[in-house]
Amino acid sequence: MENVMTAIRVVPLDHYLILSFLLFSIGMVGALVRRNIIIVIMCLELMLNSVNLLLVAFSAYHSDPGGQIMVFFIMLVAAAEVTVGLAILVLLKRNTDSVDMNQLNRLKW
Amino acid sequence: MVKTDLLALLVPALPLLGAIIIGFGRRRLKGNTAGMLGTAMVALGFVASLLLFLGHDGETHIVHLFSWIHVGAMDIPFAFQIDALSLWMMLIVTGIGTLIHLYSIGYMHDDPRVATFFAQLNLFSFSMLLLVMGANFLVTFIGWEGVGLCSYLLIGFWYTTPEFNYAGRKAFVMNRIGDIGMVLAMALMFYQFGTLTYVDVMKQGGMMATGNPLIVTATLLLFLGATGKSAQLPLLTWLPDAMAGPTPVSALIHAATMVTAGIFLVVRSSVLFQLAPYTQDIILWVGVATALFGATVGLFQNDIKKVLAYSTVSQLGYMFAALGVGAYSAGMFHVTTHAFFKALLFLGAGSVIHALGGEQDIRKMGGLKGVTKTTYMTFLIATLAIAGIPPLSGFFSKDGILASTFAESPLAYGVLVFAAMLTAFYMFRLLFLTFFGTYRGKAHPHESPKVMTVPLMVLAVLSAIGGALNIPHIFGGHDWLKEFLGTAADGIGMEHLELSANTEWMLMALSTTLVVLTIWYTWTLFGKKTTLDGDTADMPFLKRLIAKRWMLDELYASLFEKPYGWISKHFFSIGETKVAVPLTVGTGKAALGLGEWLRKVQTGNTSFYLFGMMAGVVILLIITYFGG
Amino acid sequence: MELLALILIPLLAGAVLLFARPEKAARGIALVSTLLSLALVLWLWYTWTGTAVTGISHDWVPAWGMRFVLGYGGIGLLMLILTGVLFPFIIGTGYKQPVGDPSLVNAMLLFTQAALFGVFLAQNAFLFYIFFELSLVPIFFLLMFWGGEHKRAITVRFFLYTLLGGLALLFSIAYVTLQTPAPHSADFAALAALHLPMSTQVWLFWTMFLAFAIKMPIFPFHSWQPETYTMAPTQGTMVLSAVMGKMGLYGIIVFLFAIVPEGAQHWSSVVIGLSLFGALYAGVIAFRQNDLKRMIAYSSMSHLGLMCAALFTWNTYGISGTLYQMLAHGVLMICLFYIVGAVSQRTGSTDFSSMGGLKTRMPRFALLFMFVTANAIALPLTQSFVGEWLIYNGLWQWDNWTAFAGVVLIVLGAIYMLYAYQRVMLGPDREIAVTDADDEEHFFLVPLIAITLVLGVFPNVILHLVDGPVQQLLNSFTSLP
Repeated sequence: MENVMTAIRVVPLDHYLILSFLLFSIGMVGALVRRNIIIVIMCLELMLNSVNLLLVAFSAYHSDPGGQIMVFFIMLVAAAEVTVGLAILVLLKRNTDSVDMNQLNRLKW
Repeated sequence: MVKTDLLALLVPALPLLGAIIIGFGRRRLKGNTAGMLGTAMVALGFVASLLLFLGHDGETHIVHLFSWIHVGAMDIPFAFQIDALSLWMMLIVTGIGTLIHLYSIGYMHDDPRVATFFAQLNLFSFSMLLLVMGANFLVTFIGWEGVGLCSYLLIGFWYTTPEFNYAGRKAFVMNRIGDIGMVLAMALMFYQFGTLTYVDVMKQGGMMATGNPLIVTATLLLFLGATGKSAQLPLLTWLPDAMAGPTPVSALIHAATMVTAGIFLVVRSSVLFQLAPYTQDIILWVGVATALFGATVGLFQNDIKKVLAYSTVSQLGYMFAALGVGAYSAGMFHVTTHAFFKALLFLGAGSVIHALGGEQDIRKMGGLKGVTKTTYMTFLIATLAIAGIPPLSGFFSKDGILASTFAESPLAYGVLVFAAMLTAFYMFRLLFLTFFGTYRGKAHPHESPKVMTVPLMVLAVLSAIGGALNIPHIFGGHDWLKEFLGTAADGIGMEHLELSANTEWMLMALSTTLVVLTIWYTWTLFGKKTTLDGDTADMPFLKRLIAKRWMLDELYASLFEKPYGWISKHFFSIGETKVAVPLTVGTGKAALGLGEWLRKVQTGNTSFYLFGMMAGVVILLIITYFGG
Repeated sequence: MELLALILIPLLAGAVLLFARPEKAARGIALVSTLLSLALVLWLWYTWTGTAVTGISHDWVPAWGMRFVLGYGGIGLLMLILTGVLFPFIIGTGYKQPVGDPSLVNAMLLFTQAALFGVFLAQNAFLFYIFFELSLVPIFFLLMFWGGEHKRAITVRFFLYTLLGGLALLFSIAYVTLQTPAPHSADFAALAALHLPMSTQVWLFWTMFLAFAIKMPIFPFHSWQPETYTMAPTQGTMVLSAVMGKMGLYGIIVFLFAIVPEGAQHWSSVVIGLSLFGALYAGVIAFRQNDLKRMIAYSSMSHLGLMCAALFTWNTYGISGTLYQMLAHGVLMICLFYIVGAVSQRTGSTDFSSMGGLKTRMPRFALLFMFVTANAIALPLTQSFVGEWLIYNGLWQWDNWTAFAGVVLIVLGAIYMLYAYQRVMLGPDREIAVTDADDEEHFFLVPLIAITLVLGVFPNVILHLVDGPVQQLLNSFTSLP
């Protein structure tokens, strides 16, 4: 375990921050502008993973395992979320024959 | 002492017990049982009062039962005060009450709700006794309101007739207007003296200066209460309407006892009134005006009970005039004799009505003296008494009032003598039209049963000799009633008559002569009438106005009743629909409007929501970064 | 523990009714539950020593000063007695005048009782607020499901309006809690120790008063009341008028007098003016109503206006009179609305035009109604008289003309009540087939009338209970800087 920690520490913290920021921004913009639900869900995953990356990096630098535990939680939530998301996607495809996000505005009352 | 306490407790408790037993057992009590029971209860109360009276030693006894209302510095006991004044009133209430109960057994014999009647009559006796026996204003007020309620119930006893119910409500509401004064007076006195017990209030009040504004206010407010209960101007129109009740009720409540409660209250607080000359002037002139008002209206009434009602109003005016000049014992004396002869007149009228099967219009009577002999004889005695013919009781009491008034204000005396002439006129008109001439109706008159005529005879005796109670010095008497009432705790009978014996003789001769002349004039007018032209249309203006009771009822209707309905309606239509409801509806509309506006945000576009969320996060970040 | 039991008994009984739905036994269970509560309340009264009791005290959300504190003083005990005594009768109404599914109706009533006990026991402002609003929820369902005409619109309006007041109260509570020294506490004791600056008290008074003014209600916040009372099923009206209206008065004592006493003193003439005007206004309006239930709704508003005015006179008689009158008014309202229910059950409507001349066919009922009417117009030796007499004394000590305006109510009351009695009972027989009061109705009304008379003759039983607390309250005013 210790060697993994050292391995992580090889890369400076700044780089992790920048990478994480980039990944998060890509995910955010993707989720905002794309209309294909598959892409949107992938973007969401990307945002979650950018946070994971950051958590792992800080965990290693602070020698605090708490961060890594959080990561497991997030992965779990991500899995659950994708399950629901894909289920919605499948239903949407079945009902409207499209994967366009804006089809969902029909749910407005 | 213990014996006094027990007896004093029994006096009101017995009628209450009677009311409860008869009231709840009204379905089980058959025939005359209810009447007998009710009469017995009041009669026992009379016996107890009599024992108290005989054992009275001139001292004031306070019978303390329990602490009624105790909050902070306020401790109002439920207590009775036994002194000359309350004893005298107790004797009147239970004595006259017993006779009228007895009479009612006969009068109400055929009524299906006779038990209810006696329960209410007993409840009335209980309330009236509380009123006169209370040791403080608030216990008196219990009785005060209690008699009001009983009066309401009994006026509307035949409840299927809407007019009777209206009359009952009118009586209660007008009494309540007076009660505003009563309640405020009590609040003021409690604030001022820290107690409502008569003895203490009088002790503390008596030390204040004459004309003290507090005393004047308190007495004026008390007098307002008294005008309501005793049917004085301006709160008198309920009493004639109250004749809707069964005749014994009119006799007991609206002639002999309840209506004198106002006089009792003033006498009870005479110490205070004595210190308020301004109030006394008002009382005097209200009394005089009412005496004149009642007497004039009585002239042209054709309903036998209405004549007597206006006569009662007028006589009560006399009593108040006496109180206004400080002649408290003269007022109380007139209360006593009036109770005798007016109860007799009402019961006699009841007997006539009974004889004619419910007919009350004197235009359809006449010639009854041959048929109803006892009624006629007793009625004649009462009429002579009320007219003030010596040596009947009314002569002495009325003369006492007239003499006291003359000493204070000759003008008031003049008006009262004029009213006395009018009294003689309308009473003898009533007598002649009812019993003389020939019968003008269609029913078959018959004399009433013994149970009704015996009370008449007893009352006739009392009306005849009642004057003996208070024979003035010039006739060699010693003003017994005045002396007796003078022993009461609050110093009743302080008045000094400053008239020489010669003046008194003069005044007596004058009023008696005038009354006798009036009677003779009345005889020439009505003595041998066989037909009657009772149409009011061709009368002169003043006569028509008087016949219409000075338009007082119409005036009140258009001044108060109609505007009240109008206000009530418009308060509702403006206050509710234009002010209050828009407030609530406005709240709802505001919420709806806000929702309508915020609804636009929900476009259904997921990207837009997401963008909103992101924007929110960014804004929060900026706030934390720059604001922290 | 017994304090928690007071809340839990109706709550559990209500839950049992809600989930088990024992159609037939529902009323019996509810009645037993309320009688148990009553026994508990009476036991509390019996063991009352004159000092305030704190039963339970737990932290809840410490950061916000929210604590779960239950206790009661003399005034609180009076309110518990009021709730405890009246609810068996409210439940009992359902036997003769049923509405809807007995399980559900009684469950809702029991939930209301639990919330009301909570309100009167809470010693923490947040807790008070929670119970205050919670009591609305079951009432909402009661009105929404079993109300009369226009039930939806009226219920929603009532609900929104009272919630608005509640919101202002919540804001005030949050504000004052943050003023307490850290760690914040919203306990009444802590809030009472807070001496807010006058400038704050002046506006804070209104944000708090709004909630209670709407709840009572006081003119001009009353417009929900006549409609809601008229529309609600009898039991709902009883709860609203007999108990929930008193929450407003109780809240004034607990909140306004303790937390913003100077503000309350500053605005007292305005409040007394508003309340008395409202009392007279409602008294006048009641006269011309054509619906018996609506007339009684206005009479209730008239009485409450008088009570509220007396509360702000800041003297022994005004405050004790109001406290006494709360109980009297509660009993009176139960009687009156029961009578309305009983009469309209027979004639099919609460409109006066369908009544009149009933006395011929129901003399026993007329007698009962007369007793209740006597109480309504405050004849001496009934409960209401004691309260009103003290109130008038309080008003007189405040100001003579105010007292005059107040005493005019005895005339207005006589006018509308006797008119109503006449329009229901008196007059020629209309020959409608109605039955006289049966044993069940006697069993309901006679105890209430007995309470009225006994407490009219021996009011000291209750007055002694409130005497000490009222003196304490007044002493705390006089010790103000």
